[in-house]
Amino acid sequence: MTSTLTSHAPAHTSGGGALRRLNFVTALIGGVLFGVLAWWLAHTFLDAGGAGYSDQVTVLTGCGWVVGFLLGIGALTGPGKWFTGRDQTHADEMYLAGKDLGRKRYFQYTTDHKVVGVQYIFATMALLGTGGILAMGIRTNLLTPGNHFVNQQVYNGFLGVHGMLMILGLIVAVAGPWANFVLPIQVGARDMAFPRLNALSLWTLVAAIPLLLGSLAIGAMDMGWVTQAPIANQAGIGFDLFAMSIITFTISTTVAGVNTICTVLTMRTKGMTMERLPIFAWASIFAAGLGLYAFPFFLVVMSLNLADRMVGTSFFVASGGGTGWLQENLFWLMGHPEVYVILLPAVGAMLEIASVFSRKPLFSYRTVIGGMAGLCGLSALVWAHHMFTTGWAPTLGGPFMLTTELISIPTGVIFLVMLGTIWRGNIWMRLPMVWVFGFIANFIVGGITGIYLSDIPVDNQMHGTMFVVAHFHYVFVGSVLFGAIAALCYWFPKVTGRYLDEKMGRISFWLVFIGTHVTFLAMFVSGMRGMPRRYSSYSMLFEHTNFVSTIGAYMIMAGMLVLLGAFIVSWRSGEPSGPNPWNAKSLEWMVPTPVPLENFEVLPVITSDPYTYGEA
Amino acid sequence: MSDLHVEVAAHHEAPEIVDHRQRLGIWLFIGGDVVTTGALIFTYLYLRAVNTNGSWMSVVGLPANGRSASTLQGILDDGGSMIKNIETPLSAGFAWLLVAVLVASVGLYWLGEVRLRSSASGRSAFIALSVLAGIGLIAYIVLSIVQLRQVPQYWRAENDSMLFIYSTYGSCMLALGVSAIIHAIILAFLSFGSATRAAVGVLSHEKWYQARLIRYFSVWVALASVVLTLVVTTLNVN
Ligand code: HEM
Ligand SMILES: [Cu+2]
Repeated sequence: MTSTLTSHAPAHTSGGGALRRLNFVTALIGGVLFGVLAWWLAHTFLDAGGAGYSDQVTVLTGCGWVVGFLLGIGALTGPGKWFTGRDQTHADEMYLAGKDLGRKRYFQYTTDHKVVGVQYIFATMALLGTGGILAMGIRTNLLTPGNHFVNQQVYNGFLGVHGMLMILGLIVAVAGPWANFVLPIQVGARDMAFPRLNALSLWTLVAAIPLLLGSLAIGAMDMGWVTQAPIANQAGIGFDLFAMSIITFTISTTVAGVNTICTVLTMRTKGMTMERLPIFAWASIFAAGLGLYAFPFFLVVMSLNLADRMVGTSFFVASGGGTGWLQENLFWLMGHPEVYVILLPAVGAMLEIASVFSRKPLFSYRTVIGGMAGLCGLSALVWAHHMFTTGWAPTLGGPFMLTTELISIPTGVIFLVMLGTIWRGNIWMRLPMVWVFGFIANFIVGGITGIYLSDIPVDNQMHGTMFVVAHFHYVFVGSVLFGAIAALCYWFPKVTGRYLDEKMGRISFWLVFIGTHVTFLAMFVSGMRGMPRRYSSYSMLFEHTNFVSTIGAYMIMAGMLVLLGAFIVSWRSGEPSGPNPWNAKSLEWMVPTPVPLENFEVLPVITSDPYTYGEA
Repeated sequence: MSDLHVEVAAHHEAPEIVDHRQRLGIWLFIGGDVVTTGALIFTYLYLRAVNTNGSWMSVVGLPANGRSASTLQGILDDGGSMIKNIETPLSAGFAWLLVAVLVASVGLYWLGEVRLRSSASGRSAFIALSVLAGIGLIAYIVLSIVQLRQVPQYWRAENDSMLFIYSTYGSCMLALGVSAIIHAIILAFLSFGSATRAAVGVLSHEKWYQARLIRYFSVWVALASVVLTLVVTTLNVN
């Protein structure tokens, strides 16, 4: 049917308008041109003697890049057409959806959610890949006590940009590819609620990445990923691009979040009640909702910091009456909810996998939804556990300790639901499930060390040490990254029609799994012995554990390279998988592979939840 | 082939469904904007509450209006020291005037929406009222810039360089003002866009609810300006 539609509709001959000539290359050209233009204008018209001049020039150049890039990709065509009342025709829509455009559509402002999902896979790989290279630089520098692989200034820049690349990468690692590619199909929709906004969220993300890398190139950033004031106020002009990148990114996630929520709430097919939603859909809307709450703080804290630097406001400048505590509050009001924005989609995907590969219904569906809701609610009330030792509001220490310890309850509930799902299941040990087991082992360590840190007397000892770094790497690498890889292995056949190579995948698993424990267990020890984080060289006392951590980090890198190899080889010539290789029951497995442009010939009618394994 | 058309038709959802979805979308965007505004209010109240060394509305430095950094350098070279300047809050009357202009513009747009909804002939009224709303918004932007120029700036010497700074009160007023201007620019774009769309006929009586989406956002912006003005005109002095 869909193929008849293809030959019938004249879409590819008439639609598209100006967009026909725009693509990734014109976007790059537009970005560079506008960036240079903005730089030139700033140089010409701003007062070179004024304080904040170089920051003004840098920020304006960054703005020029973003605007030029979005113009060049065609993101601003829609608003322009709206303004002049020339709404898109059906042919335009079909062109935008990438109909009959072949590979070209992956390099354009394409609205088809499946194309956007694939674009997100590559954007995620770019973020995590560059972040990983920086991590290797950091660990190499820490190989031996006085090693100067890079100089201290560069080391500091590496640390900050590594952190932020990974944070951005993990925010999109599951939500980007899969809440786009899979989610609309899971709920029985033909596309996302707002397809053009979907393309917008992807391309604003792409526009943000070069800014972050550019910040490293122009350098001198000592503020770490937490952009601590007043260090951030004093950092070199690299920080201006760093902040611009984040501001651009917050636009991307906000747009994506609205889209995700609207898709699930308003695009469900007949019979797809909220109680029959796949758990990944629930996790996606919780994460998106939490992101809508969290990321505005990110936008504000970065904007205020830029204002301090550019125009002489004193929000975070103590000598002008401002305070670094304000920066920390705003940052962690975003920062803690954000870790759950990162965690939830990964957990949602792994719960799907756990059910499918245990051939058992999801254990206690409602409980896990309750757990996710509790997590979101509480995560807005724990931010000051990042500030226990700063001297801010000591009387609030107790309450924040309490809320932080409370949040481990819903976290634990979700964890138990996963165990309950697997419990006594008939486990089919395929690649996605292997990574889920890895997650189970790692998350225990990450979660429990979190509870240690929420205890103020312990945190007074541990804060600012490598112990904290090890804690959050257990949750980010050991848990979220494992979940993201599990999701990739699980849905890869839907995208490509091929399995991700099982053997290479397992080699990769063991390298990453062992590497994670080697790196971060040793790092716990460094931390407990008192090694401060963020230092580029350290005392002989920490010699052995750091050496071990660096070896572990190389193992992780090796494992990720094997995974990359598996990805490339399998995409090209992996074993064909057919439309439903895992015998799963959610809707994305009911449609053909490759998924037709509009997903369903006839929209399905749903009569049960997707977890009826073992029932019939 | 005939069933093909049935299928294509099925892909075009009923306008009510699309509208429902778009309304949810707008509400969610507004939700994000509420948090953004909340973060700015938090900043304002926080800095006013801590008032480090009485610095909320005062600054050690030289009032900058028109003076160059070298003036300050000259004073310092002559052995003079910097003065502590005590600010006064910006004019509350002017702030409320701004609110009035904004609320009036939003009201005009809303009135236009009501006319568009009530009859097919309401379209020309809608066009006129949206244009007026847009003009009101431009006036608001201009007045906001005038207001921002009242925020006092100071020169001060720090770490061997001459800095141009604002008190924390001034900083907050600047941030809130810029945020208001950005919102007004978006609203002006939407108002004039509504007018052109209605003029070429894509926004018509039958599709009045498209104007409602914009009105939701405008009403929120107007509401926010009332709340913010209440905060900054009452909770301002040390
Ligand atoms: C049982 C749940 C958890 C508890 C009780 C917990 C508790 C804590 C505490 C108290 C800190 C502050 C330590 C300090 O700086 O002194 C911390 C840091 C951190 N946690 Fe957790 N955590 C939990 C789970 C998670 C999860 C699931 C993630 C991410 C997905 C995460 C990410 C982080 C990050 C990124 C930091 C440090 C940020 C930085 O200072 O750079 N945590 N955690
Ligand atoms: Cu936290």
